[in-house]
Amino acid sequence: MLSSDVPQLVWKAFALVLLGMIFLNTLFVWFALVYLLFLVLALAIEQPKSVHIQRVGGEIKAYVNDVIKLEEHVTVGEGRGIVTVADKLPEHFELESDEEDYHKNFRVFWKGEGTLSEDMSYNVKLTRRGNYDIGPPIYESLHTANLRQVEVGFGSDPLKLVVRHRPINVRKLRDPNVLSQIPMPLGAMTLFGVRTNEFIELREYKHGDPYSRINWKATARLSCRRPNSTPLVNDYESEGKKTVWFFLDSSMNMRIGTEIDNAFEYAIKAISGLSQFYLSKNCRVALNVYNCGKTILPDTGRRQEYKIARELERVEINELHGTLRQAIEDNKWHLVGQNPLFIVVTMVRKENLRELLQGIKSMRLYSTVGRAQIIIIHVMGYDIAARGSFEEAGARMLDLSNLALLRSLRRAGAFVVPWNTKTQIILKPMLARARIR
Amino acid sequence: MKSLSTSRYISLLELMAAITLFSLSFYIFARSFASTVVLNVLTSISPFQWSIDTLFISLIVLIILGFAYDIESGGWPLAATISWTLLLSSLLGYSNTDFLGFFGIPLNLAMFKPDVPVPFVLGTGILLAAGDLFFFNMDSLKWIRSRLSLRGAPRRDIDLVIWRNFVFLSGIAIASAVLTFSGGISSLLLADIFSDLASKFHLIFIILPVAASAIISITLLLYLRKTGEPGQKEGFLGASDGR
Repeated sequence: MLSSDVPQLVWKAFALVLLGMIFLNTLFVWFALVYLLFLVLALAIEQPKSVHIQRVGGEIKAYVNDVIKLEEHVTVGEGRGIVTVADKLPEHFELESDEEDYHKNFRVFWKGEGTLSEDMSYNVKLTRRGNYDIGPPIYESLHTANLRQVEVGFGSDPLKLVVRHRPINVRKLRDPNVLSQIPMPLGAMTLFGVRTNEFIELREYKHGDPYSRINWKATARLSCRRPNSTPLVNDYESEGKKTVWFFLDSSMNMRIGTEIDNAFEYAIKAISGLSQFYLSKNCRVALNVYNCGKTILPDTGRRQEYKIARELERVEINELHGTLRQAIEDNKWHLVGQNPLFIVVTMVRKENLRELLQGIKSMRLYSTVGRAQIIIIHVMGYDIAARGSFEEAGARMLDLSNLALLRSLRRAGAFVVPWNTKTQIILKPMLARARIR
Repeated sequence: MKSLSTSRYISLLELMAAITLFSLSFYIFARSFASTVVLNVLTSISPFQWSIDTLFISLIVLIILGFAYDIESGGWPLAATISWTLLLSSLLGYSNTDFLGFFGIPLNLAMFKPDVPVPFVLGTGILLAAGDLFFFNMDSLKWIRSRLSLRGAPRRDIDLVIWRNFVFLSGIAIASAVLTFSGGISSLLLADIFSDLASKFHLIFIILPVAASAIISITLLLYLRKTGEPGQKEGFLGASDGR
């Protein structure tokens, strides 16, 4: 289809021809011929056609803040003119610029004589986790004199991009100075499950214990002192019955910071790392996003790791009003008898303190052995949002004002781990907390 | 800063091209009776004594002011209007009909014929038309350049593409001008043959232009029917950016 520029030239030529006819003056007609010849010659040249864009690679899995290289090969077979090729990327991705400012997701090529064959590549920093479907490249073909309308088309290969938070390598972070490792759940005290070879203690024989568990040496030694005593048996840990429940706060409360760098993203990062750690220790791990009520029930192994990772890729901040207490109530049948380790990842503020206290109260109901194991990871969001020294000082003031809130949570029976995301990686504060215990 | 200075450099070149084309048409105007008429009229309505030099300088200043007023898009429309107007009076001298006499105006157009050879007038007119095409293409390329820059295309890409397109379009415009000029000169050389024909067929001056116009119109109509109606420059960058 012709563009709106064509009539301009046609009218000029027509006006000159008309003048030539009125005054019987051939000079006007010759001048008109310049425009008409230009039109004919320019329109005889087709705009670029047979555009093929082939993307290198179909699916990419990467971690947040990784820089990946995207490559495309552009071929244009016919015509002459300008061809633009663009990849539409999610707006929060960062394009890595080079010195020449040359490698970009939007390129322009000149299709002259012969086949155009060009490679296009650029680097992108993946700033946010998620599953992204990047559509096929878009191309535009422009007529050389802009006398035809622009043709828009698409390349053939869409790109699937899976971006996850980089897992925390626990081994590297083990600190020989700390007295204890990351808190482990006490779920081994449960009566269910297959017994492992991990010895816990000697205890008195109970009805139903298999005879093979009786420790005859210990029983003999005891019988010397107390002849009527019951036999002693070896007690072992149950396999896979240590349970860890993660509760993720996805309320608007977690939105503090930018779209890329906010408290919620750090919370996800923390859960991603810790869930992998606990799964690697054969714990059953469960996840609940307690504002929207999504739950992944306790399970072990790589399948569970994949399920949690997928959920963490998709989860977003929402405006729903589910509470921690409600989440625990909803999952009570999965919590009974488990004596799990509860890990709540949130940002403690005056607004959600009451909700957290109620949640702690509910959690304690399901801690049947010893003291309740409740860890609240407090993502220090004010520090994330702070830019510049004045704002950082302000953030510190707000953190100080939060100390009273954290104390009240500790009094309620939770271990509160304040996490300054700018200066600490998640395991450090947890290790430090473990030593205090 | 660099792009601003580049655009000013281009505007300066455009101004020089416009002044050159204007000078050519003014030269023809100055060599015609129309200049005497215009100078007499100007002197009678203004307190100053107008000469051909003062008129030339005044118009040059006007064109420069036109460019300075709208430096980004160029002041070509003003320069083109002035140049065509000046040339028009001389072109009328070559008319083969007493068009004004038809309306009862006792003015013989032949007296406006300039004192320069016909090929010079033909060449100047063709140059003006080619200049118009040049500025038309420049406008189009400036628009494409600005849109590509806004969308964040690499600067090197834009420079290369715009330059190659400019060269290609200039080639087409020059080819059109050269072909037309060759045709015009050939027709002048063949004028004698045609004058013989004209002496035999009096209607040839009507038949030929009418036939030419009819052929052009039919060709355009057929072409438009084949490719569709003219429309807007849709699609190109109307949508949001690739990033």
